[in-house]
Amino acid sequence: MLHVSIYIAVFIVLLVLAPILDGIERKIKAKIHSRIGPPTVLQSWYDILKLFSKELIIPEGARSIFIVIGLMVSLVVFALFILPYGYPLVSQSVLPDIVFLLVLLISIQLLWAISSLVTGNPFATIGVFREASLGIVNEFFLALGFIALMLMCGTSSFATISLGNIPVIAYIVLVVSLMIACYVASGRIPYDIGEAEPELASGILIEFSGPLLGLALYTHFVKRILLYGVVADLIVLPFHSMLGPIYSTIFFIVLLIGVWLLFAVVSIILARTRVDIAPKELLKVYLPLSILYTILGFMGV
Amino acid sequence: MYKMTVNKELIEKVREKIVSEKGDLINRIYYEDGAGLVIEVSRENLREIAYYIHEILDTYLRTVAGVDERPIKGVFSAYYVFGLDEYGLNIIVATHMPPEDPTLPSITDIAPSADWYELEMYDLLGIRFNNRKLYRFVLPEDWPEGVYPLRKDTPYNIRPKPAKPQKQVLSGPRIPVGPYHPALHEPEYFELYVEGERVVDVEYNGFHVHRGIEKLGESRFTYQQVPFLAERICGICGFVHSVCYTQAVEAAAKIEVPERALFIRSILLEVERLHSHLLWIGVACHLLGYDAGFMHAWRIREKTMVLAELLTGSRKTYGINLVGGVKKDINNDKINATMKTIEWVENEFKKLVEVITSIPQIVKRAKSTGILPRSDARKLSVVGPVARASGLKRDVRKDYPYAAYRYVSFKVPVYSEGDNLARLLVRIDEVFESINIIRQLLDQLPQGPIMTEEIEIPENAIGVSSVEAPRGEDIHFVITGKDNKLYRWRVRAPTYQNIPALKVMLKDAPLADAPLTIASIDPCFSCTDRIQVVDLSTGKRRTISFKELQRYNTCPRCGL
Repeated sequence: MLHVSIYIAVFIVLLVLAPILDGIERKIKAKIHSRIGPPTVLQSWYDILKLFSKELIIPEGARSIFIVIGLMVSLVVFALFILPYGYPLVSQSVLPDIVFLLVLLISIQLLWAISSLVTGNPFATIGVFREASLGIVNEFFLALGFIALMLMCGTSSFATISLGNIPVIAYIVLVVSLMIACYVASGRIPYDIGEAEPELASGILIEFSGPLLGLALYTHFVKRILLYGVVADLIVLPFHSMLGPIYSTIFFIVLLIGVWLLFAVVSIILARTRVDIAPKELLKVYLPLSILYTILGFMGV
Repeated sequence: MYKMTVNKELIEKVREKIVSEKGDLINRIYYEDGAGLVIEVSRENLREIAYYIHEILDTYLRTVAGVDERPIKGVFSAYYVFGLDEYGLNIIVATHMPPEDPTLPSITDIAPSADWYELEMYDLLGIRFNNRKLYRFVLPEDWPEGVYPLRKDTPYNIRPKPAKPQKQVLSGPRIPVGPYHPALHEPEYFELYVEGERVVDVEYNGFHVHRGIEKLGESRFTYQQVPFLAERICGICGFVHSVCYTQAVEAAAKIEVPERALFIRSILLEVERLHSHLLWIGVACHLLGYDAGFMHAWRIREKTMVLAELLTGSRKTYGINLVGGVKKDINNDKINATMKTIEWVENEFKKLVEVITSIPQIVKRAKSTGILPRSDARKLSVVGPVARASGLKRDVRKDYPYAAYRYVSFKVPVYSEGDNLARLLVRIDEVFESINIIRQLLDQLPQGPIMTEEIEIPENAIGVSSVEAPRGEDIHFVITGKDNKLYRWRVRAPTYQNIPALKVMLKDAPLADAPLTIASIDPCFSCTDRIQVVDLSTGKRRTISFKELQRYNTCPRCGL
């Protein structure tokens, strides 16, 4: 019962925390830029609330945008519910939650792109095309990483990831590869090419306004929590039986915040890439990493 | 300063060469101090002479001024100003047309950069050109036919009833960039025709914010008021226009300007260049998604504005320039403070450049994109950093020295690649050169007055003057008139010369690079759009396509 109450408490904390982390990121960004930045770290929450108070405008001929956005929001929240928070629940140990999470992650990426395609805006269309070209490479290696993870621990459940159960060096290489995949999937510079404000006038976000934009932004933040939660989980889970539920969960939350802020700083000091360069560059990184963890995994080290 | 630095012997050599080879086609040839070598030809021989001067003498077309000279000479005239860089000499081809038949042969096949000038003359003066397509270019679609704003019988405050605008038909997939696009916060409109992410064709539609400045300068303002109007042509390189105008009048009227004033003008021109280049480098970083570089470039730029305020009292639009000199002097305290500031700027900028050029995406995306080959650059007569990045060593400060530039030594950075990276590097090098020039000028600042005592301006004198603006050469052409007013004032800003080159740069390039490439010429639309008289009641053009575009150009993030 304690597990379940911790679990539900963390779930709610994460839903509240997502825009706050974005607010902290904005403050850090401003510091690095030599600016002052937003007045408080709650600014992103204020932005979302303000957008919700605005008039609802549906892009012309794109009523289905509601279905797509609604589906995306529920999938993101559901995926966050499936994710273990550093310590797997009893029920999770019997669910094939790695497969489940993978399917949800890829569906969310797809919906994120599709949501703007229904508007038919030329900027959005190009944004979707860019997301898709990037996704072909990134999501393939995201999936490959998850499959390798399942092979390493022998089951498709997060609960079986523990120190005694996995080849350590292969696992570290795998985590690095998945970390990069999560970074790219979270739409950060240099890989925010689908949005690329100066080029495409915010591309895939262009037709959103008011409450729809607020919802899209909030989903985007929760999606980041989800992706960085996966990274934090991959680091914490091998130690979960040693740490116990409470310490695992605390460790998980600290790591999640750390990953978010680390990624934020990386994205601030880099510039945007281009759609024909990005997939090639990513391939150059992913291919050696995946070959390495496959070989090491087979060798069992 | 009216004194041309051209060697009289060289002028004589050029004159003799032209006379011996094309003498039979020329009506009259003479050297006009303050303007250049003037060749008068009949319009039948214009094409042959233009070809000879542009191709055989290897010059470039600097500007064309159409003038309604009916009240004084009974004709329409066109002055084609060609630049012979090696000698620092302007060759002005003047041709006249009878008022009942203002027609000229087109020279766009000889000098492609003549395209815009001809369209502008057609719109504003009603001069027709044979053997080319003529269409509405500067004036809005609803401007009535037969009203030519720059003709002398058209009053400056005319408010004609709007004609029915022709409706544009939308067809094919295209990406609108502007008017008002997050990449370029100025009113211009590019239509990029794309296949996937590849740009296959480009259409430019400019002149959205015309203020009728030339007409105003000719009708309402006196000689000493125009410098302030000229300074307002542009918010970034305003002082350039003001200096260029005063120099042109000084050249026409042969006014000797005190040396100290020339030094002060040069110092401020370089401060303005520092400001402009830092601004541009920031914008380029922003377009590449590197906002940290953007913010830091503008942090350094802020100090140059503080410096301008110290020297002139204003952060921008300095307002200290007059025909015959300047209004504000520089004392020792200011010299010391300036030295300190530029040293700080130099150090901070060095650090910034190191960081910017180490960001892999910036170098990768700027390299080999938006290429303008040297041959195209020459043909299109591009100017400034765009020319220098394409291997043309063209810098007005060296070629046609003005103000105090003859007293300083500096390098003209030239790169041969012609891509966006070359244009970035040219500007980075120029920042250091500017700092170097300011130091030399402050060291050598001579004593004496800053304003000349006697100013007498004769009638009907021609003056041509150019200034190297941060974006390239700015050139003003004036004809003096009666009643303390100009008869004709022709302004040509650098962007006017550089925009046609974008077609070459953008074609077959990825769409993602388009904003950077467009910005790489450092376009200044307020400079380029200065000509037309806009009727406030009809000035708002709203065709169907425009409304469509407005929808696409709202950024949901920032709401702009």
